[in-house]
Amino acid sequence: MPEDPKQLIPVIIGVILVLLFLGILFLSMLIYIKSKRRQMHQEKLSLKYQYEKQLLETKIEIQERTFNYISGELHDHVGQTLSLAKVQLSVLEQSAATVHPLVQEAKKSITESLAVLRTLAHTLDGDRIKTFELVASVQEEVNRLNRTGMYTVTLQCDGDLSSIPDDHRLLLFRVIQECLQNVIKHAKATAVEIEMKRTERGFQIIINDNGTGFDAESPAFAQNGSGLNNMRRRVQLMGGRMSFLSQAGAGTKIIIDIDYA
Amino acid sequence: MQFEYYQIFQFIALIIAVMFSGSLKHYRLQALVPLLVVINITEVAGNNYAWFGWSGSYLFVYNLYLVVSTPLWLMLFSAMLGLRGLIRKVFYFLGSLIVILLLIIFLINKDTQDFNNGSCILHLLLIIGFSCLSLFSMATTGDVDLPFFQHPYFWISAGNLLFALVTLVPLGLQPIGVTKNMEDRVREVYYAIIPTVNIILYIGMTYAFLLCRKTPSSLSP
Repeated sequence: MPEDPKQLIPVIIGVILVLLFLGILFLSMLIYIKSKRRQMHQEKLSLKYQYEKQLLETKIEIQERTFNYISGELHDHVGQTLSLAKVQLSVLEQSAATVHPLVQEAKKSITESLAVLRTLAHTLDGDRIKTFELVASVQEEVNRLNRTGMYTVTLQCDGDLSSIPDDHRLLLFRVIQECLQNVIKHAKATAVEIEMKRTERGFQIIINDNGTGFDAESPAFAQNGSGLNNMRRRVQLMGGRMSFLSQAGAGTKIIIDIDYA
Repeated sequence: MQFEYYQIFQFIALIIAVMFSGSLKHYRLQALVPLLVVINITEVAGNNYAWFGWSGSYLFVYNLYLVVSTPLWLMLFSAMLGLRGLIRKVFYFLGSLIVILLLIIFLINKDTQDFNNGSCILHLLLIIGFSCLSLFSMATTGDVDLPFFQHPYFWISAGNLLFALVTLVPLGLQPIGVTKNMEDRVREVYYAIIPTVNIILYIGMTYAFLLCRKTPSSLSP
């Protein structure tokens, strides 16, 4: 150590500066490491999102093809067979001297079955939903449920919904269908209200039922709510949000928001 | 009574820490409140030793500070590092040995008028080591979504690291009498360093306390 303090002072200041430099270097290095980690994490999340999106799109495509196939089969084969049976009964009615009263009843049953079959084939036909209006397709689904006499389903529309893109139209219709299926299968509801409206940023769909409801925060819901999670992912695929407001015994309100702004 | 201007920043840090003491608990930083109380009392007592009419050297207060504050610093770093189980026990065992060592040095040199530079160097090295560990842990295993600059631990650890690195040499060499033999102009520069790093440290701490208002999503640093 130098004996003259004057010589020591620059050394001390030099050491302080070196230590300070090392400290700042260390901090800069850690900041770099952290930002790299963050960047890699975001890339990983982005890849995961892309993968899930592609997987979901593939699933939806497969489902739509299956639905289209079933729709075609119902319309072309089962429908044709029922139509033929109806014609045969008409021929029997005209040719026979006395017609059994059950023939009339059978013709009526076949006519009703054909109507139901036609509606079902329509709701399964994705190509038709893409070309027709979403509201008309939902109304058809509502009518189908009301015809059973077990449910009172109402549809209320507000604003112009024709600007919804074709692929979103089909996805939304499937989500609404799934919601209604859930109401029938699980909620034990007797009344369902569907509200579709235009908002400032896009549009909103609200589905409200008077069923048993569920606890959306419960672990059981997190484990078994895969159907609802599926719907949520479909909505996310369109860049939207889906939320569930429900309590056990107090019905369920499902809100779907899609922004196009 | 005499007050140095950097004491204002220490006092502000204490006030903010008390105001947000509830939020500090969410980040396991509650040890900072008693620590800042000790720091403020030490600075007031040290700067006004003669004013209070106490006999001996004012350095006694700073020697006592080293013994009293070290367990609080160790508690703070243990919480910031999120130590659990055996590692925590080992940490507290070694920490207790260090505190006992500091206490022995304090008791041996109690009657002398000198600053315990050995204790000070040990204290500052502990702060440097644990600040580095805390920052490294934050960078490598912490919540990846939370940017570095928005985490209270960053401002506390980085402030402490820079403070301890800069003051290590001046405070460590204080008893050699370097400061007494310096030219006035150089001494001014020398004494400017300590208040400056104090101000930087306590501004950093105050900002960290303000960041604590946000509820943490995860607390492994």
